[in-house]
Amino acid sequence: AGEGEAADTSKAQYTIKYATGDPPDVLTASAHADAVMFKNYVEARSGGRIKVEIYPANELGSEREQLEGVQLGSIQMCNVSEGTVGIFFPEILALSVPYAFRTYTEAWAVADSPYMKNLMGKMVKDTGIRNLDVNQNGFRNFSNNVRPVRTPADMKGLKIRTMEHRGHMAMVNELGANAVPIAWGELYSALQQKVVDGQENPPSLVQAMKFYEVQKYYTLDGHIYSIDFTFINNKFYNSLPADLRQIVYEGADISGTIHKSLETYVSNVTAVGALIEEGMEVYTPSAEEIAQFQQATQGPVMEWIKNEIDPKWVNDFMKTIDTVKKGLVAPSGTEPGNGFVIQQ
Amino acid sequence: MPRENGASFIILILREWVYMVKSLLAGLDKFSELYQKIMRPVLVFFYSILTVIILYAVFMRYVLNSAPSWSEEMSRYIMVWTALLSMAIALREGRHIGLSSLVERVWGKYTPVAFFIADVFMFAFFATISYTGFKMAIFVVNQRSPSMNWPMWIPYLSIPVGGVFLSLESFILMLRKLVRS
Amino acid sequence: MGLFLAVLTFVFTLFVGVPVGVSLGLMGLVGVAFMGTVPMEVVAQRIFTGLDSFPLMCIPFFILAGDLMNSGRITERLIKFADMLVGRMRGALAHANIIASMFFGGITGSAAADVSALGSMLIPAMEKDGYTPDFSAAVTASSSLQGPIIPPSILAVIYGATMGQSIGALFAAGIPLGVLFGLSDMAVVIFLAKKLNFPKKVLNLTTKEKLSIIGQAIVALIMPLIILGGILSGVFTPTEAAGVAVGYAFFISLYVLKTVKYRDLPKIILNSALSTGSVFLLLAAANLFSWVLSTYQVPAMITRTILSISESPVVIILLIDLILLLVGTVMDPGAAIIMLAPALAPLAAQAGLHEIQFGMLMITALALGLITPPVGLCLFISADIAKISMERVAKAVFPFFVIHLLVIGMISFMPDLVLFAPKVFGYL
Ligand code: NA
Ligand code: NA
Repeated sequence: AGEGEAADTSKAQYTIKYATGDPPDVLTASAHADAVMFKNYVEARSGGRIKVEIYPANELGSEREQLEGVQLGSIQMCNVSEGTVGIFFPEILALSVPYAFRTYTEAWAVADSPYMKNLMGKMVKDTGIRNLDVNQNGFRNFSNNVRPVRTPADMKGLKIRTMEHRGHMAMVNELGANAVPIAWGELYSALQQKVVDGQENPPSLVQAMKFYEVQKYYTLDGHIYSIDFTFINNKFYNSLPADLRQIVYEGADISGTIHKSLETYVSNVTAVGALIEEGMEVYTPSAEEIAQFQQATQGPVMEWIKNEIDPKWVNDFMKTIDTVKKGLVAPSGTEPGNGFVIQQ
Repeated sequence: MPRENGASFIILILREWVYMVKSLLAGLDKFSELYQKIMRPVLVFFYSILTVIILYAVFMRYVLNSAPSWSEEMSRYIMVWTALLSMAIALREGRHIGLSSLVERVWGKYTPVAFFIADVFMFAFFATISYTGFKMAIFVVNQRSPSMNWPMWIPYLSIPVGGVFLSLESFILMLRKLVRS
Repeated sequence: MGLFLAVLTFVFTLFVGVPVGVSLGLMGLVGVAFMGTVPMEVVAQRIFTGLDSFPLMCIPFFILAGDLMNSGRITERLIKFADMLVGRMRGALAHANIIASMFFGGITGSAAADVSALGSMLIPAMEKDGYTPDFSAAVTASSSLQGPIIPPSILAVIYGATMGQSIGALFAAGIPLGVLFGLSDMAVVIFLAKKLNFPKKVLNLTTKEKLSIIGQAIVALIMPLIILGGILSGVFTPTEAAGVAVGYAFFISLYVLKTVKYRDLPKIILNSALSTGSVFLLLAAANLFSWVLSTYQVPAMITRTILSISESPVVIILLIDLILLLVGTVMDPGAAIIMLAPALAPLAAQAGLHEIQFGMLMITALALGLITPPVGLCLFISADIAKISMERVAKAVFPFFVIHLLVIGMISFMPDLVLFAPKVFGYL
């Protein structure tokens, strides 16, 4: 808190408590950079009528608690990932189809699609939690300490730590590996001591948590495009006068761009390079190999998700991806093999 | 004359009051004994189940190489329930530590008054917990636990339930001191 | 304003005898109520999330395993074994008291368990041997601090769970530090031995007797080996190790030592459940208040205040030490960790303290409050056993207190002392 004072907020009419899990580091932590940018924009544009207090590093509780707080109104805003959202709004599971996205541009286009607007519209109706921006946590990839993973066959028998997320666990088990949920705080030592063989996280986290010290092989399979959502308590949002609502909305939009860029930059430019330098063997599967991963997991996990929620959300999601893929004119530098595409 | 009459009237009323409080206390005590009788084996059962689940999870991971997905979440919720339910019995048995020796030194012969005030505060706290806990359990009615997909009111309900028992016990403590004085 | 009233509530309710856990909770309640816009449900939310943690599950397990092992015969065996090791020194029983706590620390996770189990046997025995009740109670209280430092340690579990740090790394760090606490106690005894003319008794044990004592103690000593070995080698996570320890304790006490009968089990388990209940009330209430602290932006306030005094790491660390020592004299150490660890962590990082070093500093400095007035739980229990006033024990414990302060100073300024064990076991 207190970082980047932008306007005199001593007479603020509204206070936004904004919670994130990121450490308070604007240069590497994308959600924190997002929050700081949001604070500056909103405080300055509102002429100090809105005050934004940032609570980084889970100061106000775990992600589940933060989102619950936003729903309750004890916190006004938070930044949490889709695993947490599923607890409150199961339809979000539709976004957890493995190997659905291949590139950032696809993911960003889906984030801006009418489909996502519909989904978030249902969410605010069901939960009273309003989405301000759909953001990026990064592509999740497998690492392990047993053998290089190139195809699904290499995953057989590996014990992989996942989040407590049934969709992710189902995916790992479909690959012939064993999903083991382990508390985040114990993950490093669990890897170090071989309680589990591997884990799955974006490069930025593998670097930040120093998993490279205890993991040898990293496969950039990008099985899940993990999303960071910016949420606001709907009652609070509606209590704002129209001009301030506009400012809050714009602020989240603009700061979201920083969020996406920073995560993309850290994961693709700084993190993977650093991991290789630290001695990790980083493998980028070929399109054929990715197809094998996709074939092994996508069908069964999709069926599983359709059992959990109204199948229309999954079907529409896949349709949207198709549309996006057809409609996207690949800008220069996004063809497979070039920097902008993480997996290939 | 009227003064005397008045005094005896007050004494009469007081007697009536003490009698009522005493019978209320007796009733509450009976209820407390009853639920504690039920709760004790329940706690022992929960605790044992907790141990079995952990050992089962270790066994599954090492021997059968597949970790159960539900074990961590289920054992967490059982633990929360065990903790909340045991707090009231612990209160009745005087297991929650306070600074009683310090209180006696500070308050001297007024110590019973201090302890009575303490009971009032305790009751207020536990009653608030029960109330907010109940509201919270209703609030999370649509939340689902991430790995077992259980409705979240199941673990959250432990707070109002434990809170009600705690309120009851602190209320009994309060009445008991009232009767004694 | 809200914060001030909250703290006032805490102090007032403590002084009328409200249990510490409830006082903490009331403090949180008042804090939330005075925020104005915050819905009161957050009270229930924080109570729930304060308990809903897998690492914290170590606590009920370690309590139960300790209770099962804590039957009289095992305590007696450990004391005999300790006595055999130091029986030739002047003040043998005082040394044995310390050594026994070292072993006992490997079985139980708290100082209170140590003080009551060992104290009830050793204080009368020491008095019979000619030690003053004051000194007997003091050495028992002081050496019991090894309980929460030597793993398993409830305080380490709480710090690890609160800060997302590896409990295994904290356990590893706790082994040498706990022993160091024990050795410093022994140094005090050696120093006082001549002056106070402690008895020197001659134990003439045959090899056969010695072997039998070792054999009897070894069943109990396998337990810390399972817990520590299991965690440090990576066979178990801490929670699993705690569960396995319960399994081992069941097996040993029911079938090998036969110190526990089947029909005793419900009573023992219930007793552990009630201990867990009172610990967890503290943890839940502390979790509520820590939210209040964060929401009033107290961590930032503390950081700013201390940095305005000085930016020198030495001064910052000394101020952190001072805060911990002061808070420890009135507050339960576990609850204090939940409230203070997040608030002081940024400062600790600023001063260059490693997270594990900061954790061990919190554990040891706060635990020291267990042997200082006015609250001093361990002083209280040992005074109760020795049937003397707490003031008398407090006076007798003073030299131990001073040397522990020195050790805490070492922990503050010698990172390698704390970090070498976690490094050896590959945590860092
Ligand atoms: Na211990
Ligand atoms: Na001792």
